Amino acid sequence: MSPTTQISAPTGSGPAGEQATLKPIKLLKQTLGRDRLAAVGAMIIVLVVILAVFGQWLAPFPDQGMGATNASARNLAPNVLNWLGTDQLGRDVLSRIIMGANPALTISAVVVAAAALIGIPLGAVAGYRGGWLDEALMRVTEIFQAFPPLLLAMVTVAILGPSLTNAGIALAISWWPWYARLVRAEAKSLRERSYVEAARAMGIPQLLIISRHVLRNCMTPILVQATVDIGTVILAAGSLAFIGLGTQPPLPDWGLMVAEGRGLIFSSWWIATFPGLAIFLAVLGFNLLGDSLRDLLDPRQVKR
Amino acid sequence: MTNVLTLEKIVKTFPHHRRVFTAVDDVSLSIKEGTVYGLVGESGSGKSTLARCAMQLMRPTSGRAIFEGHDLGKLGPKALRTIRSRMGIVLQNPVASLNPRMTIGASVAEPLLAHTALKGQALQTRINNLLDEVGLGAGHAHRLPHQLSGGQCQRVGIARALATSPRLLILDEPTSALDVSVQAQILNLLQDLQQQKGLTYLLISHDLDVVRYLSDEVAVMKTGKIVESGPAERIFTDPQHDYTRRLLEAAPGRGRPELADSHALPTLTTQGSD
Amino acid sequence: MTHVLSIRDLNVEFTDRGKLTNRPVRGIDLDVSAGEILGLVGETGCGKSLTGLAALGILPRGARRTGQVTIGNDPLQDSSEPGGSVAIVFQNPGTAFNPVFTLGRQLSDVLARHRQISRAEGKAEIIRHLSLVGLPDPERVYRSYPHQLSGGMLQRAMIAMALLRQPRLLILDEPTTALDVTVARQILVLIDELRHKFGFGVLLISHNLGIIRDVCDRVAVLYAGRVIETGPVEAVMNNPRHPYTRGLLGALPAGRTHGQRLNAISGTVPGNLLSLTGCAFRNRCSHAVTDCSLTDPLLTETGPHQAVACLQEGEL
Repeated sequence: MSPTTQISAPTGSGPAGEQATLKPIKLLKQTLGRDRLAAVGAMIIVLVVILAVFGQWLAPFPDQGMGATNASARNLAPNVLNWLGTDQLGRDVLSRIIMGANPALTISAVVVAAAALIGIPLGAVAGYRGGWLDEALMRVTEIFQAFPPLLLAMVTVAILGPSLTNAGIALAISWWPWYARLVRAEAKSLRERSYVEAARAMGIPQLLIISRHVLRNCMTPILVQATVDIGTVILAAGSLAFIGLGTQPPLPDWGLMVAEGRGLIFSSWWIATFPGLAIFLAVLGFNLLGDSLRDLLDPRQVKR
Repeated sequence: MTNVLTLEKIVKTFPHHRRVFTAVDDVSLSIKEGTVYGLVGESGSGKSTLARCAMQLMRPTSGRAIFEGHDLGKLGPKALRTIRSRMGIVLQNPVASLNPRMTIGASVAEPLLAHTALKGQALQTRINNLLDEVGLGAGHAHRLPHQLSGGQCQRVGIARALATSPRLLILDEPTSALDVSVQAQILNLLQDLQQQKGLTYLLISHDLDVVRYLSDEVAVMKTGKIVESGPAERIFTDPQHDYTRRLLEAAPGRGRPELADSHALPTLTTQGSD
Repeated sequence: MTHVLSIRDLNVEFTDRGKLTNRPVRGIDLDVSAGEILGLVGETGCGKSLTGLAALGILPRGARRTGQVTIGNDPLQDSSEPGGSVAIVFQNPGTAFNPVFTLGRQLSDVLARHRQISRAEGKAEIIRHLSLVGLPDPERVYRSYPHQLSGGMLQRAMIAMALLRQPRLLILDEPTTALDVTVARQILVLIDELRHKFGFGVLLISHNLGIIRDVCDRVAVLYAGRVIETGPVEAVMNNPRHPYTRGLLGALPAGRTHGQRLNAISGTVPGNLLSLTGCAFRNRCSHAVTDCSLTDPLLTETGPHQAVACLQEGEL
């Protein structure tokens, strides 16, 4: 192999000082500055996080948010007091949306974390070692993936009983195979890398090789997937609540609110539309950021 | 003089489309302590496979690899890992042989952490000494591979290979990916280290000049077999085997090709490789 | 003697959103005559590949060239398609071809773009070219897919593809680096024969001094985007005048054994060529004087067809 003939601008092979290492914060600002969509995504996510953490202090009618009814104010269109209107029990829609952020974000984060924690080690070991372990994992994940995710979740909730927690468990069970397969594919390819061969030649124990050399170098696709997945799980949890298998009334949940407003969609459109919009924006935000995360996490920070 | 590494009748085959491909076909050799053994051949000659069998990175299909008196094939996984601290490897692509997300210091520390009890300041001192020895300042320890040049990365690879004070260093095309002037720096370094520390090298290369420069003994490989072996100078000045002669004649830099030079037409093979 | 390639004051600059980031080629003058092989030699980052691409009229995105490039009598137009009189053969024959099409199909595509010719005649022409480059059973090669052929055969096919364009200038960028030594030699012999037969000029770009010595008539040594020495190949190789050329030749292990240290040139190529003043090599040169940091030496003739860019040239 010859020294690679550089067709792009030489990135400067000189010693220290010739090549500026961009600090992570600077790089973050630079990426968000250049990539407007990423900036939009980041802003949306920050908003969702703020709502999740400070919801009960930001919501104008927090107890209505938690389910307290207000019979005198039923089905009011958006007005000065209720910016997004009220639902059929007189509860302020805006408050319920704000307070629905916390459960949505929490359950998604927990599900993704659980799926990753289960799937990543399994995928890494199976992919690196190959052989029967790998075959076994492939077959198991294929079985899980053969079911439509929502169906699997429905069966689980039907057994365990409907609630947000159980919806979370159901979703985690459906989700882990994707991480296992993602990491398995990465591990298989990384196994052939030169530095992995060097580590084996040096007598580094296998588990250390997997964690230090394999996993560390496939974090980027995992993090990108996880970011986008948080959005997807918010949608999935909302779907489960929509069909009555997730959060139970009177607790606030965006999917549940869409279900509750479904019958009145033509007369009191705001009851279902705004929660639906909330789900849409949350998913969009995570998708946009996830797309841009790849560039951010590449250790080779110098662009051509 | 003892033999640091002895290979006895090594055979390595791979299953290939319902047939069997023989990469290494009954190779035996011995490497004496403190010498440089050069394995030269073109692609497909089996030299890289042989080196990997010697280190048990691949298990030979048959034959034995005896390192410092131990039959490597008979060692359990833990014993084998321990023995690995007595061997070092330097690979062809310097940047790719380092974990892109680990600092230089961490890469050099890795074998030390696995095989020695060094910690904290003592560990750091050893890392700095190693980096100094290979001509890289200790200041590079916190940098990442992509921030260094190819030559610098190869120095790191050498430092890492020497970390546990091995007896045998296996060098797989150590300078093939480097520019001429950088190659010269690395060859000088390798030679200095070998002489200062009395190291034993197994050098694998397709570059005859590099092999001639460093080696005491040379073996020429073709399609899995050693066709000729002996003292380096003799091989290069008085080659006995026809293939060795052809190899030497084809090496660049010998002069203008004659128009009468019969360019042997290649035979068409399916899935052939040169 | 006609020049098939004439380059005057070639500069290649890279810009990033309007701002100049680098100038890897800094004022190169080159001539290639018909039937001659000129070797362009240098290490990574010297600008040799960019020079080759500039001669074709194709440059990567963000790159801009100034200066004159003349092929034959026609100045080069900037376009995304290389002109018909120039053909290039790249380093890695395995990746140069599309793996899902047969060689015949890919060569036909090239021929169709270059000449108005019927399919039957085109096929015959391609078969003729394939046998011209020394491929036995060219009919079979025509029908083969790239993965069915060895590296050496693919490289011959690439040369055949280049010849279909009936070039006046053939550019070869590291044509033998990915090949085994014995195969590489055959390719060089082939190129030598073909240029005698067809009379085109050849620009051979390589980092391998041995290859240059084996097959080139003249050589131009590049360093940091400039030609620092040029002349007949034997003259330059046997009696190099520039300290860098000397360093390069002294660094070769050829013919040496342990016990003799190689003259490794200390230091590295300067990273940023924009802020350079004076000679780019001065920090690594054992003959540098104060003037070397002020003046950038120009190529000056030292003999028939020989030139060196060094202030100390006369003293060495």
